[in-house]
Amino acid sequence: MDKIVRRCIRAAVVICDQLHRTPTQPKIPPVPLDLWTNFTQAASRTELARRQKWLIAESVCEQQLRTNALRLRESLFDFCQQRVDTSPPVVLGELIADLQALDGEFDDSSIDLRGQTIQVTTELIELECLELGRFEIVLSYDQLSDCTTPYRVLALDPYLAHEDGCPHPHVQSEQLCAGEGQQAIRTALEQGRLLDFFLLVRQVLRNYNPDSAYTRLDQWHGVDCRDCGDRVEGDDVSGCEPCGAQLCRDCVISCEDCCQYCCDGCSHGCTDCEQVHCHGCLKACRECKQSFCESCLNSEHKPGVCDACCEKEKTEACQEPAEPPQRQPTTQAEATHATTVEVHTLRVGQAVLPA
Amino acid sequence: MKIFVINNDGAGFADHVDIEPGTTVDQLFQRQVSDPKPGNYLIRVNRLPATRDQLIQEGDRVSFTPRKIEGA
Repeated sequence: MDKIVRRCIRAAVVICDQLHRTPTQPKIPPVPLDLWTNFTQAASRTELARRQKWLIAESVCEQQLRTNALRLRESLFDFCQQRVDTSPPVVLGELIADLQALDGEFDDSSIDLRGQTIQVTTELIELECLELGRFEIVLSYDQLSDCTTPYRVLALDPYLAHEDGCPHPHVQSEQLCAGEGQQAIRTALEQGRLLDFFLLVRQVLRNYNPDSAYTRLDQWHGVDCRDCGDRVEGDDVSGCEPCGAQLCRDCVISCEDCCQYCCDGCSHGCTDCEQVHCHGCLKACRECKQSFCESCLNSEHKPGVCDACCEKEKTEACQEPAEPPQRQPTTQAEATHATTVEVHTLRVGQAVLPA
Repeated sequence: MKIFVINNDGAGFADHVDIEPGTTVDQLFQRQVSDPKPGNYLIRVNRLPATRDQLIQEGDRVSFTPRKIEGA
């Protein structure tokens, strides 16, 4: 017999045994026989109490009969609702056929009898023009009954992985996040449809869901700086803390006061000292409304007002016209005029008053 | 005649079904799968690729696996 066929048979025997040991949903849901027994016994007691005219006992038995009837009804309703598992039992011949068919679907497949694994190699996976390399899907068939995900996905070309080690948008730490395929994969394993299992995993690897990926493809090899557009990778990527924009080291700005990193849009220079600050560290002058940092804004004389406005106020205060001083007469004529101003008019005690 | 049908869409389904003799793969697909486009599926008969107009025989094993399965 072919060596490969022998390996397939030996692996299939172990798998068949594993799957038969796995507790699966019963073919037919359990019938509530105990509840039926309780109900019929309660009916007999009620009938006996009625015949004997034991009124109190009859009342109690009727209550018990009613309770048992309700429980039986609920249980029969659940019985009718339960899904009957109609999937065929795992057959050794089908397992062997599945294992033999792997060669036709995958670039490479092999069975490790000692490690009790089956592995297949995919073609080179390419998503949105980005080559991710080949992947190996390794099924540990000795864990089929114990583990919910008895398989791993290994990257065979790790140099194509993202810098954080993520080899595929939906693979992390050798675990595939199967998403839409999760239930179908689980069902295929439970039913021993190994070929379907490997096909399903491969189809997940062949597709990309940008809304739910460990690492997005547009960030696979660095990101574009939001401000200058240069490609930036790894530790050279900085983030604007207020808005989250990704920037290169040349474009990122550190606020002079709080030191947080900002982009050009989230920062501004102080009108006075011109040093760059984040918007949170700039305040508007109460007078001129321009933006200033804290040290340039709070004048000694007037908080919330910039130095320029304070100076301007002082200057304006100095320029206000004062009351003109009394001028002393400098000539005789002026002095005479000053002394001949009438105090009294024509009559003593009377003076001409203006209208 | 009785065949074994596997639909790997959604939660997965695998069971024996009765079909009329002379049923093609395409006709079976239209009956079993809600998607109207067979091109969106990998179709295998007895674990081998099949054409849409291929006639299904008694006891065949036919599987439909979606090409597009999105991970998370």
